[in-house]
Amino acid sequence: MSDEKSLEKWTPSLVSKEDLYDALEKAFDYRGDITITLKNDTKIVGYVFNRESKVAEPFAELYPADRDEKIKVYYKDIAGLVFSGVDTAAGKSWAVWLEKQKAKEAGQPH
Amino acid sequence: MAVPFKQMWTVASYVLGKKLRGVRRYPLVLMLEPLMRCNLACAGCGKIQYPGHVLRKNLTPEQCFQAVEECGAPMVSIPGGEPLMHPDIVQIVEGLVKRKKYIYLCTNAILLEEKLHEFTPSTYLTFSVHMDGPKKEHDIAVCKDGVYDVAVSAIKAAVKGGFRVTTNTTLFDGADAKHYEQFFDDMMALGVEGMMLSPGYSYQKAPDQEHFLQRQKTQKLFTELLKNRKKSWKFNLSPLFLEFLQGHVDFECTPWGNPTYNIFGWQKPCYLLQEGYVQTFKELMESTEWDKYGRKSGNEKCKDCMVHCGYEPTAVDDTFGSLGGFVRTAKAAMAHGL
Repeated sequence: MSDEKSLEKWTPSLVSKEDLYDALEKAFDYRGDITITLKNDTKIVGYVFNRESKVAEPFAELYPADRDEKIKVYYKDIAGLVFSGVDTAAGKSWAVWLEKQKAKEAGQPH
Repeated sequence: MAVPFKQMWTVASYVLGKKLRGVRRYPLVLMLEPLMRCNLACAGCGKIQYPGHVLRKNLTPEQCFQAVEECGAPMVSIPGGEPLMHPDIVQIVEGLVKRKKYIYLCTNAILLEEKLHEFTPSTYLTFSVHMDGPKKEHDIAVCKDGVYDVAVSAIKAAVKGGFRVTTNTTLFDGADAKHYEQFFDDMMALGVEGMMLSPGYSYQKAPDQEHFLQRQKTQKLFTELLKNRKKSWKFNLSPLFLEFLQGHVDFECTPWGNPTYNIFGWQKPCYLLQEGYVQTFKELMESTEWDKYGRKSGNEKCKDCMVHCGYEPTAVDDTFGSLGGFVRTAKAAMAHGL
């Protein structure tokens, strides 16, 4: 089981360009939805499945939670983001399963 | 012989054609993931941890055919998620058979018996049934009791129905080689064409991080597993890949050998590492910094990996890419009466 702490509910502070780039890297790695607020106050909730930070106009790609299409959001348009969705990779430990198995084999309720 | 001659000939002529044309990087097997959702949540799998709206998405048959055409690989593996949960899986399979692609439909077999009548037996179609070992080990690996028995029943039905069937076994740390001898006997007794084996890879998102194998442990386990190898055991793997797993030959990874296409696009760089996506196969091949992957690169994520999707293409390339490789393969095959 990974010891990494979940980023669920995290709201990164985007003071510098590096903050933004780091937050989007973490958003790409996160297995839950992210809420992105654009500089025009539009909010997008979706799953960040890609990001490209080494091109002239860095962007992230998302599947919005409310429609079936891929959308591209440019880093320069982002005002803020929140790790708003449930982290689907967290809390499903092998250890818990093994304990259940052991309890079952021992005939105990679990 | 675990793989039909017609399929071997197709693969051999494909590889030789690439060699003669001087193509250094070419795909061998397309990993086509038409969906991410599954009816199991195995502890060793890092493929299904996504929000619900992502899990509900499917590749369309047209997207699948487009990917197959773009890639050009002679073999297509259809993992997932559980491909039998895809509403258009029959149409996808029929389209790939029509294109004369050798398909390995990877399934946990929970739905196989129920859906079998929708498929037509073909040389091009193989059901690759996920079997992670004997009953107890398998049910623990898939985190659900009773799945082994369901899979055994489905294998029997598929074999009886005239389908090609293989098993697909991932081995984790702690696997007891002695138990697997009986398991191999049991699988062959079911009438499967061959068995695929691979050491597990530590997906970053897999809940079970403690039971994946490191390189030396992998070699030790596979040496132990195969030291009393019976002639009746047929492996659906290149003989040189089996030699590699036992530490008898050393190979470098071929990360472009099994490219992956799924609902997000073409996955960079390989089936196991998820470092970004591009929208075309050409872009995948041309924009990925391939030198950053494989053991020689020093990449920590590649250090202990010996998984088939990176090393089976190397073994096949070695077999058909040089006379020496062909002789090594023939020797390894003859040593085990293949």
